[in-house]
Amino acid sequence: MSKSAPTASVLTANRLGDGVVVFLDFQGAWSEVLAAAAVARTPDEVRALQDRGAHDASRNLVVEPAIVEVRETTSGLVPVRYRERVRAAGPTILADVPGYVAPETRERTPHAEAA
Amino acid sequence: MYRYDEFDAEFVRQRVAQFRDQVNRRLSGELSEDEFKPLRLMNGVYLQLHAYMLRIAIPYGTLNSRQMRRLAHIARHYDRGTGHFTTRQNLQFNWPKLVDIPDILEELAEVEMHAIQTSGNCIRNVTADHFAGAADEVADPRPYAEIIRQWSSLHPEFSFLPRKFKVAVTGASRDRAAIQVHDIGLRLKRLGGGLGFAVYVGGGQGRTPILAKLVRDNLPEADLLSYLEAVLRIYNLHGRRDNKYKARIKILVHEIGAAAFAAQVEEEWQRIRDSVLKLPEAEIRRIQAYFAPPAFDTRPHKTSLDASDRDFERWVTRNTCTHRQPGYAIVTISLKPIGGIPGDASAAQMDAVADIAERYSHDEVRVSHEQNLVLPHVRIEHRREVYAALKAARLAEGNAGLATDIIACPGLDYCALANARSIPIAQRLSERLAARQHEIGELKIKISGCINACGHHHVGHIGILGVEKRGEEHYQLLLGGSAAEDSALAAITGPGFGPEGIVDAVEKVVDRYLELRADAAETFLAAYARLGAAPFKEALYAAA
Amino acid sequence: MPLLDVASEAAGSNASEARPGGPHVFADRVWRDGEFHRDAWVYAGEGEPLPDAPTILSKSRWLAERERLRERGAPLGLRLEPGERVDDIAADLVRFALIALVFPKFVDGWAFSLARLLRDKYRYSGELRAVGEVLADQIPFMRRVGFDSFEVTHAPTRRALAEGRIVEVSMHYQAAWDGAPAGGKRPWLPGR
Repeated sequence: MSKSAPTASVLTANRLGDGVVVFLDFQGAWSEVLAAAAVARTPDEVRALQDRGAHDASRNLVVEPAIVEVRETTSGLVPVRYRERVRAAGPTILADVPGYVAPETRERTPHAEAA
Repeated sequence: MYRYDEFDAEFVRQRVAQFRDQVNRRLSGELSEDEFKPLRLMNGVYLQLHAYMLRIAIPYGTLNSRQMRRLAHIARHYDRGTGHFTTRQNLQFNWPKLVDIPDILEELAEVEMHAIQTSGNCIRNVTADHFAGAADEVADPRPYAEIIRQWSSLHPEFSFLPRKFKVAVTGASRDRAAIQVHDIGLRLKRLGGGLGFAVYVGGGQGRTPILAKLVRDNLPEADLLSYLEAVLRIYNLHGRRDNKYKARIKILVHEIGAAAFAAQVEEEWQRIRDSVLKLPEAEIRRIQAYFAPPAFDTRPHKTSLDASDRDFERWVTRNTCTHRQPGYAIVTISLKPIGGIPGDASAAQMDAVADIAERYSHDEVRVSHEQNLVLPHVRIEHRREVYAALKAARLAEGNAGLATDIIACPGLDYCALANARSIPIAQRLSERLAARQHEIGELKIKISGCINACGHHHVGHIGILGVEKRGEEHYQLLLGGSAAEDSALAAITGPGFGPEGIVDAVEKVVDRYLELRADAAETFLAAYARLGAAPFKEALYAAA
Repeated sequence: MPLLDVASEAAGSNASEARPGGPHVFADRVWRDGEFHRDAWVYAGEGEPLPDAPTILSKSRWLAERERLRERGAPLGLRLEPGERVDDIAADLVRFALIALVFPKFVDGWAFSLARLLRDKYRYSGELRAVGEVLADQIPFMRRVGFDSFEVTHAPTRRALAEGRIVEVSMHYQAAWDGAPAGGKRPWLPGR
């Protein structure tokens, strides 16, 4: 990855109710998809993102808003820090987690009977 | 094992109701995140890299089949079908929703489980020897762990300590509870005509690893709670709160000196030792009665080790230990499949373990601090059925204590505190060393993804610490640590390695050990003690 | 009796008004005996004149003016910050009708232990007040270690107190400072 490419910023947080990682999108909504994130390229734009993060945190929509540096590459937005790449994409070892069921396919089982 | 009485059951019910109220007030905004965070931590709710994480308490690592099945149900219904057993004998779920957690806690309360004080600056899960009640010991440490658990639950004075507080208890001369790297470590011993404790204070890992100091060698069992209360009070009054990395009791003991610390505790303890906290003998016996041995089958056993199944034979050698009761064995269930994720279990595997425990282990399972499970009471002639059942569930790896029985924290794949991933390192090492693991013999490899040392890397025979170097993952290698009664802190070898390099580095260390060991009976740790670090550093860093 | 300041209410339910030692928004800020009271006490900082009213002093001021204050008629109070000791003024504690212990942040739990010592070891029987960042979820713990009054400026906590909405766990595994029965049968607790 070219270290000389300029970086941009996106705003991330976790949804309060379920903890899912989200990014502020161009409509001002919180999306689970990094590719949809609104990109800030100037200090003023970054400040606007930070203000929006603080505002939505105080409105109890999200927790721990933070600015994430990204590079805009031909394959999309890529976070600069490795940690943020893992955070955006999910654990790198999910294929090896025994019994892992991705959320869309999870079956709901009824409330446990008292044994 | 302990059974809740009405008091205990009502306590947990009320705590669930209280937490439900706290969650609702957070969702409505009546509580800010800053106000809510310590409260949710006191109920084991973290915010991790991808989601919330719920840490469920398994007191002194003991549970029955009904409880294990409930954990499997929660994994299926509220999480993503899987859970992780930790180095403090707890269970973690990585994907619960905050809005669901009160319901999860309610379902746990139905089977006498909870998530109380599994995080936060309070007294955490009291851990104990995972072979308690089955191995040779002075006495079962778990009744004392249970007494401490109760006394420490929502303790009004000690719920906002300078930092977290971890207690471990052992009753055996072989320390399987790592007591010397705990804030308080307790070793049961005979005292006069009865029982007492050697009390160690101020051990811990993390940024400044320190072995605990023996602060009182002879504490009568009746004085257990009053002495602990004195220790906690001195800590709560004088522990540092200005710097998160200097806030553990180990720093206080280090800064004022063990003797001065012991004197302060002694002064306060003498004042309160005859207060209500003095444990009546009848109460100790009452709690001990819950941990009485099960109704063992006392018929003589038939040993007929059929040597035709090499894997079974190896599994018996590595994963079963002598039980104090003739005719029985202690069985270790490895949660370390070759190339797998240490400590993880699927809901189906949890159910399988529950079935096996109910049928073959007097309905009891243990969680070890090495991220494995234990069936404490298995009749010797049932070993083959148990092995077959475990094998069907992919839980029959015969690698207990071997190089592929690796401890790894969740690391950067899950944890918001981590600097590097630990799980893939564990997987690659496991794959690399599997073919030679029996030849290598006992070797405890422990991997942490950050300085907080949840992987216990400071006390690994081989320890690995993940750090961040110029935005990339980097790993330090440490050698010669031990969590057992010969406690020692591992020493760093030199410059660190990248993700590929660290796997090669460990292999070089192993190669050098095999080359230089006196014989196959000399373990890595013994060889390291004899040879020192030099030959290993040379293998790692000398120009090829 | 007005409990809440409308202006601070509008600032948002997350706003915490706690400013130890600073200007107070609420007049009726002391919760005691099941209701809010006007604070009868005044804090006299370093160098400030002592009013003819119940006055709280810091420990350093007390030590400096102890002799001079022998003649004083109006009640005296003591305010302690985290880390301060009382063993060196143990004989003086009986002079104080009130002792205030500071929680600079609600997570700083030092005062829980000092409260225990004041009640259990020094047998202090005056008013023991929690000041600073005093929030709803810590108040039940504070009561159990011996606090009997609370300076509360955090709006949601004031509402919760006024409405009797603080959710406690009434089953206690530890004895309360006054030996009150804890509602259970643990033999090491009183009231068995």
